[in-house]
Amino acid sequence: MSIQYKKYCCVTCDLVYDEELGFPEEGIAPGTLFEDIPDDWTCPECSASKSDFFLVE
Amino acid sequence: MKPIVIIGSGHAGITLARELRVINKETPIILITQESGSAYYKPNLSKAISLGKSADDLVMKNVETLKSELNIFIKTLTRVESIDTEKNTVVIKNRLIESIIYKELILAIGATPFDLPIEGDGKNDVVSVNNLDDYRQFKEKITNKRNILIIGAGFVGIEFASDLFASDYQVTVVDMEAWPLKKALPQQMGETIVNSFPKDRVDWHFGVAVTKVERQGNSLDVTLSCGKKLTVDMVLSAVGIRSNTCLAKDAKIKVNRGIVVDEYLRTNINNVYAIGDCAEISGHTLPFIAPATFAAKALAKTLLAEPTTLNIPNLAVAVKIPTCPTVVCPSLDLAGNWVVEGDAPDFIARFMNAEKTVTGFALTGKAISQKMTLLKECVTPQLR
Repeated sequence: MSIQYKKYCCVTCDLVYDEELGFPEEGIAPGTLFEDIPDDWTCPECSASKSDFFLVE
Repeated sequence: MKPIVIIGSGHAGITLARELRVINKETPIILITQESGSAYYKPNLSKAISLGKSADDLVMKNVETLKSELNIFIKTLTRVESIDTEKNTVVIKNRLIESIIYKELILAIGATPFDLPIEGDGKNDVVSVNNLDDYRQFKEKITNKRNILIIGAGFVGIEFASDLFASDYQVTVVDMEAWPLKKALPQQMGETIVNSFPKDRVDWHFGVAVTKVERQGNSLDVTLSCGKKLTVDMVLSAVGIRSNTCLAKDAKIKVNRGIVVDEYLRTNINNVYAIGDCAEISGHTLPFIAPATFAAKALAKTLLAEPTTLNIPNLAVAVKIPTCPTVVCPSLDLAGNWVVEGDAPDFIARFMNAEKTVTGFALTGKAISQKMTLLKECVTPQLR
């Protein structure tokens, strides 16, 4: 069974976090679910909070 | 109920409005702006030509969406004429002149490009791109041009150079310093960046200034301080910005290089605050997006919850140069030395103060993967 990965978008700069790809350069491995990213993590582009990302439908 | 009044619809002003709404859904908020009020991400302005984006394409949320999503009043295309800090009012001019009373006033009025001491009848043809409307005009003007001269090889200048050569323009870069991004990285890295650009597309002139711009038919004749003359189609100035302080100064609010605020973002006048590019804290103006985001979050808490000081962690900024990936974390401590390791183009540079503490860093090439490690090595800047 394959996991349904989701995408989240930063409200400030439009950067997209794709769970399937992760952000390896930021220390977030591919396949990391958004909810498993630490709460103090910030947007690598603009430093917005994790809570400033919204689910992309 | 008196409203919270925010002047400015840049990143700082709009982020503050959003953060206030996170805490309180009801408190009245009025945002006043000279611009159209649409939200856009300013760093995109220096990398949008190669993506073929129009000014409208860069709008992330138009003003009507912002008004309804945030439940705030936005007065667009409106100038603030003056502030009366005794009566707690701002006088605004749109078609009419009116006075708005505030409970708290937040200045998020940004910064303006430096006015260069340039001679010649082409001085007014020198453009700069500091907001979305500037970009709209720039995009229109550049369409039929080919040779573009950029004054300044800082963050904005180098990103424009990269964006424009990638869009088939012939680019000339002129900077007073000896290498690009001099304030943020050492010479080896600056040279690495220069070498990453194709030599037949980008021409560099370091250690000189533009002294004169003269009209010559549809072209511009540019004279450099070394005496050299160049003929180009367009001149773009990216020499940096200075905080907008006049409005504050006229209202007897303390200003220096920026509007002076303490660690709570308070000016010397009760109920008046400043954030973003217009503010100065402990002698520092804090450009870039991220410090403004942190300031907006702290101030929202101060205004609607409990007093909260601004604390900014170390922040690494990616410079968008596809030919040479570059990440910098500029030091607030200006005294110190660069210690560089690696071989071109993959350098790690640490900025060390007199106590051998790492207070900033820069990374190029493959070394950008070391960002998280370097961020941990770096001491947290103190703003008090």
